[in-house]
Amino acid sequence: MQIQGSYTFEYDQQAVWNILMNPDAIAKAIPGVKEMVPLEGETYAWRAIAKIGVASVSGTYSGIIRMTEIEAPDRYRLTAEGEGQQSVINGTALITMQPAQEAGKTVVVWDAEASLAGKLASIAQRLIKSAAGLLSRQFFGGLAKQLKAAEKEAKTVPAATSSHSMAGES
Amino acid sequence: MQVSITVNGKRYERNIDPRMLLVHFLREELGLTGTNIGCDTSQCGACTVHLNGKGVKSCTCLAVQVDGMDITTIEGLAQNGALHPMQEAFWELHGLQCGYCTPGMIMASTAYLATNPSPSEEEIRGSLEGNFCRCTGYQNIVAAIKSAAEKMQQEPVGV
Amino acid sequence: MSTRIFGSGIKRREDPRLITGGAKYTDDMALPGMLHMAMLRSPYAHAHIKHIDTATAQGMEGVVAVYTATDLSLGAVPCAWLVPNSDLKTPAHPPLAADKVRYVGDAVAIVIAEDRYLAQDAADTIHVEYEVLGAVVNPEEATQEGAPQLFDDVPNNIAFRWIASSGDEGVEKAFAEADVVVKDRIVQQRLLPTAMEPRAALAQWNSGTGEMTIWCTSQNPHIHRFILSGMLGLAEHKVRVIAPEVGGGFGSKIPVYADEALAAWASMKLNRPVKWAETRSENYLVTIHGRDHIEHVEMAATSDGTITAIRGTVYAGMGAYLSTAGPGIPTILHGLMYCGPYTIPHARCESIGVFTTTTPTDAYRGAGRPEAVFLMERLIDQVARKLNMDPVELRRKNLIPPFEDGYTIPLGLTYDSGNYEVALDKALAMIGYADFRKEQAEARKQGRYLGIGVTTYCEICGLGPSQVAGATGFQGGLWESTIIRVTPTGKVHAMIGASPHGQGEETTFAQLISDEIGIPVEDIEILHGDTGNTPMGWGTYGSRTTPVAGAALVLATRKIKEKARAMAAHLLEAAVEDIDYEDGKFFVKGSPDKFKTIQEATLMATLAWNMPEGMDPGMEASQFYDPPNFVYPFGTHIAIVEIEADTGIVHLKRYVAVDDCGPQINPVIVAGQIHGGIVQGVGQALFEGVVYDEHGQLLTGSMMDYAVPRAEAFPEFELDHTVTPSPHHPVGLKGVGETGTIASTPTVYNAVIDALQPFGIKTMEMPLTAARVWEAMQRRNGSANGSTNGVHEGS
Ligand code: FES
Ligand code: FES
Repeated sequence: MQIQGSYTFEYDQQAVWNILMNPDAIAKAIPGVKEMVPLEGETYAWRAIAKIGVASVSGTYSGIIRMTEIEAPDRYRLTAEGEGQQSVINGTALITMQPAQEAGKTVVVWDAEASLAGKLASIAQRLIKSAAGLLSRQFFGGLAKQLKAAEKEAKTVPAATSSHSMAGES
Repeated sequence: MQVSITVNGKRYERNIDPRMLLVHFLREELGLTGTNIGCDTSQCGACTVHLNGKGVKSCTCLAVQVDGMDITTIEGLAQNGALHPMQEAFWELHGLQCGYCTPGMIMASTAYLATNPSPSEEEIRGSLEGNFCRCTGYQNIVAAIKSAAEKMQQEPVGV
Repeated sequence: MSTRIFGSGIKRREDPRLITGGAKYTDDMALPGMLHMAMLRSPYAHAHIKHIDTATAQGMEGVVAVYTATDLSLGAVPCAWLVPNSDLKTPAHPPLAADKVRYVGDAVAIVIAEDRYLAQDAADTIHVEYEVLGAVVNPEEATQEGAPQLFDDVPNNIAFRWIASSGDEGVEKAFAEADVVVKDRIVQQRLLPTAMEPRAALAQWNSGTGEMTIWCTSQNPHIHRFILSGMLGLAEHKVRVIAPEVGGGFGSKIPVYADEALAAWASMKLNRPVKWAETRSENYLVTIHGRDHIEHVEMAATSDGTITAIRGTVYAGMGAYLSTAGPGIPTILHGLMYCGPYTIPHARCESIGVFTTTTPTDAYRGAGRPEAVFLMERLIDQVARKLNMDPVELRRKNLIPPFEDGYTIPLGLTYDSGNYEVALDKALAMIGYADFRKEQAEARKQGRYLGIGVTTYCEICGLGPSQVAGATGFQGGLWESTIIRVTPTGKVHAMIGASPHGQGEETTFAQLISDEIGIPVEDIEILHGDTGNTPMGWGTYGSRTTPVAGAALVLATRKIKEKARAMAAHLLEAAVEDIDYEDGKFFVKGSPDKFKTIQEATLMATLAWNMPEGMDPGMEASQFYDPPNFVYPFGTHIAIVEIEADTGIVHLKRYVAVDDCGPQINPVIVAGQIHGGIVQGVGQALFEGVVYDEHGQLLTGSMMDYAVPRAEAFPEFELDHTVTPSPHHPVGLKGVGETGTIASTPTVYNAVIDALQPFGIKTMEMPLTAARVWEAMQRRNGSANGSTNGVHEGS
């Protein structure tokens, strides 16, 4: 299952990069993710627990989320492997970003491939495919919201800016 | 969670798991196994019951959501030992074979007639969109609903 | 005399419990101390199992046991149709996969817990490490070099290669000398039987008596007992199988599955009742699928429209393992029917059974015959088109002339009786064939696309003589038996070995008995489904219950009648030869007021105060019946469709069916069988089809994606019949359970192709969905350039 798409942020590339490298922000934005715990010994890998409700295969899935091929601040690859509900989910997405034509905006493009196996495939594959666009928009929209919230916070409580530890800075 | 649900005129107080579906409440808590389960994606209609007089698929709602409400199942349709005209018509016109879809069909069609008392054949077929039968080819189900509608026009019943 | 009960459309006797919610299906049952079983199933189509970690599940509260293959002491799931002369490979089908899984849904572990949700939750925590292997879902591709191999000892995944031929030389010659030859590649897509009740089993082991009782969704409890006792290692008389109310089967509840065996085994192991019930999605994943043929077929004819030969090569997908009757379907029940109701002198079918990494296939309503009738009717329409002949006239020209007692076809079968042209003419008159052609021509001028499809079919059912069963490798007999017991007050218990599950034999069989001995149907109870109180029988499938069990019943009833006659003679102090019978009364010839009723005779025989010399007390008879031949119902179905030019939606406007199943015991029930059959067959033509992706993942795993036909897609069917009795059945009955399905798929398909003539479309893959039809029309209009998507243009 191939999923492609793009999303335009109203922020500059560095801000977008920063939030896209922030596991807390990502955990909040991925629909259904309950927690993301860093994997020991790896900088860009997390054990994630997600609660996903698709038709009658709703339930808890657990898996590993990894970032690889990191080329700050332009691109990285996000992979996820998960299982649960007698199903297996495998996905990989190449995420690239570049300044939009309009100044101050950034276009994020993703090219993802996902495969489902087991019950999830038999009941929900088509649903998920048709819902992929929506889910992606939810994800990036969620990130944008967080950026906005951070901005507001920064305006009112200037000291708070430092609370966003930016994984991409290292 | 504590719920109080009236089923077929009898009130039941139960402490249940909030995740429990209404259909499981009926079948497993109350032993009313006349309501059947034919799918897990809310398509087939085998589980249809009346909720405050309206037809609902009991696999689509949680038991806690119907707390305080009034449910009728296939077991409660006959009144004082007399079959409902819809039950009579299904019997009379061979509207069932294996009978698995039948409780849902009867509950759905009685609820439908409450909204459209004298439907055309086409309307009846349309109204069965959410009720599958694999045995009868629908022909005698449609005929039964039509005949029940006509009878009920002459002698209205409670449901 | 009152109106005859035979032939009367009385209301069904099974209905009161079904319309009030009082019926008990397997999953409606509960026993004290009952545990629930859930299955862990493979998410991969083909993989090695490296490691299974059940620790978490084991430790969960409420989980009683978790078992994997290494824990089991349970026999393999057997295949019971070992088709001879086909180099059949029967690799073992373990109830739980040990080292390899071969389809998505193959069971790997079971969890037994205090409730079903817990069992499911615990199963979800089991972690299995797999090494994923390649999948193959297309049976033709699976035989090619380089395809993933399911079993080490089954080269090219070929399970069997079977040939039926009237003589290869003759076939070759006919094709070489033919004026016209048409060829087609037909895909009989996989179908999901979709009995509305999913499968379930409840097993109760009694360690005190060493007895096992299994309630399960079975079409043939005696076969279940036979096979399950073997798998469980229990003596057959210690196993009781009960098929309570069963919510439809359509073939999917014939096979013995691992699931019910596992529930029974677990019950023995834990000494508590164990229940298993599948969900609909599990049903779609693991309950057998039907059809799945890829066929290369051709027909030869002379220029005057005489069909001279037919032949085909069939790649039949068996799925990952051979199901109970799997190999018999694309061979015996398919290839032998290649001549249909036509005088075709030469025929040959080569059927190649192929393992693929998919759910096993087995009998689905019609089983083999729908595929045979479909290819025949498709090819005939194509020959007609090529010769510019009316397809009806071409059929008429080739129909076998009427016969009352046997007609042997080149493939060796002897049809029992047939009068095909009469049924054809009746159906043509009903639909107004000639007028329709005019209407069609008019409509075309206005840009409306009407089409008509005609099928003249005959089929083989009423399975069947046991000798033939043996000769064709069926690992059982195909007779039926019955015990009829009349109580002192004249009520009847008739116990049958067959196991109806919606077909209405509790009513029609009571009618048969009543018709013979005058006891009212209200006083007759037909008992079935419980091996504990019924005599042996091989089950309800292959439209055999009425032809076979019904014959046993009639003959047993006649034994009762003769005993009652002798008793009455004794009581009336007359010679037996002088006793006449009418309407439940035995009277001395010529003096109808001097009589004894059947009830009086029964009471006196039961009291046994005064018996005739040498007669035993009681009123009971038992009868085994092994039919001397199959039965061959036939008929003509005609459909008219209109295709919406803008959308490709096929509207079924009229459907006429004239069927001949011999005399009808209850015409209302016969009609019901035909209605349901038609809808299932049209489902294949227009809506239904299993889709796997290239990884062997089932994409039509729920009712959201698998299009079960709905009421609104159908007009009111117009039915009629002719009556041609079977010469070998005691009352001439033939089966009617599958004719609707067998005839309706090609009828509607041919109607659609007929409607699309202006577009020159010759063939399309089923189902003929609106999208597919629309695309075909667009391509022909030259206004779209998409994929061919299973559409082939005509020449
Ligand atoms: S069980 Fe509720 S709709 Fe199928
Ligand atoms: S009567 Fe069997 S599903 Fe409707």
